[in-house]
Order: sequence, then C-alpha cells, then structure tokens
Amino acid sequence: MNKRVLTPPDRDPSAFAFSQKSYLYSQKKLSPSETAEMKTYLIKNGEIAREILGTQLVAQEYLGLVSKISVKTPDPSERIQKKRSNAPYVLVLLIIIAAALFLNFR
Amino acid sequence: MFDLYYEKIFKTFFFLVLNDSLAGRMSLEVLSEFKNLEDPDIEIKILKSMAQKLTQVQKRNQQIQFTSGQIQFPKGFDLTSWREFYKNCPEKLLHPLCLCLVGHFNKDLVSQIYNLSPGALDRRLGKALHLLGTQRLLEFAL
Repeated sequence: MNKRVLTPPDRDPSAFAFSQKSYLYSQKKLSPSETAEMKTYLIKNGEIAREILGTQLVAQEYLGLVSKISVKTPDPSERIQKKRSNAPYVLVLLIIIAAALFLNFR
Repeated sequence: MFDLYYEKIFKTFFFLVLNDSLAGRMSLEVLSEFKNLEDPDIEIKILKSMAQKLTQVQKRNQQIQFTSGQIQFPKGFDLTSWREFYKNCPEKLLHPLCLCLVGHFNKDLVSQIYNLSPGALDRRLGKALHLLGTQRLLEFAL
C-alpha cells in the first residue's frame, strides 16, 4: 500500500523535511553520512537546550525570592478609593468669572 | 481575601511599573471594582481589569521608585537585574511572566485573557525566563 504524506499548506517545507529525516534517523534508515550529520545536529541542539534550561533555572531561582517579598496591605480606611471631584475647582472658576464680569460692567 | 488578592496584584503591578505608590494605587483601583471577592469567577474578572489597567500605563517608568514603603525585599534580592531585564524584555513576554510567576495567577486564565493557547503561553514564559536568566548570568560574570 502506498503511503500518502499530507503536508498542510502553511507548513514550512524545510521543517517538514527535517521532521521526516529525524523520523528516518530514529528508525535507523539513514545513510551513514546523513546519520553522522544528524548526530552532530542533535548534539549541538542538545547543548543549546541545556544552556537555555540552565538560564531558565537561574531565573526561576531569582523569582523564588520574589515570593518572599512582603507587602504591607493598606488599612481598611485607605482601601476605599476617594473619587476626585472637580466640583470645587469649577465653583472657584465660576466665582472668578462672575467677579470679572461684575467689575467689567460696573 | 482582600489581603491575598492585594498582595498578588500589588506584586504584579510593582514589577510592571517599578513604582510602589503607583502599584498600590492601581491595585486598590482594581480591587475597588469588586464588592464580592468570594465570587468563583473573581480571578478572571481581576485579570481582565488588570489587563485593562496595563494598557493605560503606556510609557514604562524605568526608574525604580519607593515612596510608600509598602514593600520589603528579602536579603540578597537585587532589583537591578530585574530593571535591566525589564528594559530589554518585550511586553508580550513581560506581562505573562509577571502575572504567572510573580503574581501566581492561574495560567489557564492568563492564557484566556491574552487569547493564547496554553502552549503559546508556556513558550512566552520560557523565552522570558531565558532572558531574565541571561541577564542574571551577565551580572554574575561582571
């Protein structure tokens, strides 16, 4: 039976070729030169992955200290947010305008 | 419940704005929107409100400011590496990192808020951790 390989249209052809090649590598069906090439690639990527994992562990250690940070919660009286009102400023402005008009007409 | 959520929200905001009084004000604004903190859907509601607040903070203040004295750091904690990381890290990585690993909000809910699949969120977290770890290692080397 012929196997049909379907490739989704948005799939990167080189990535697809690589996944096929890695499958053949796992099945030990690659030529010796291709096998050697694949081994080198995997070792290099393994090193990169180890390096990334190492840096991530360093970051997680740092973030572990963040959980030890203590935060002072505000008192209940401070919890109610007072909405700022513009009414006093508007009132003062109106008084100034009224006074200016009054002085102007006098 | 107030204390629990306040701490989570405050820490998240603090590491996103690096200003304790601003973080405190934003946290109170978020929490004042909700009367019942026992609501089972409260976490997603809080996350939505926080995401909205974060869109309003457009320019990042890169100077660390402590004015309210609300926050106390453990011994050996160095904020300078965070500041350096913060300057270089794109927001699409910084926000999920702060919400998931600083505020410890539920990852599934964070992925819902940012319209990400759980895998995409993990990838962003991984990238952000890598950047932060690289920054830490650079400082160790200096």
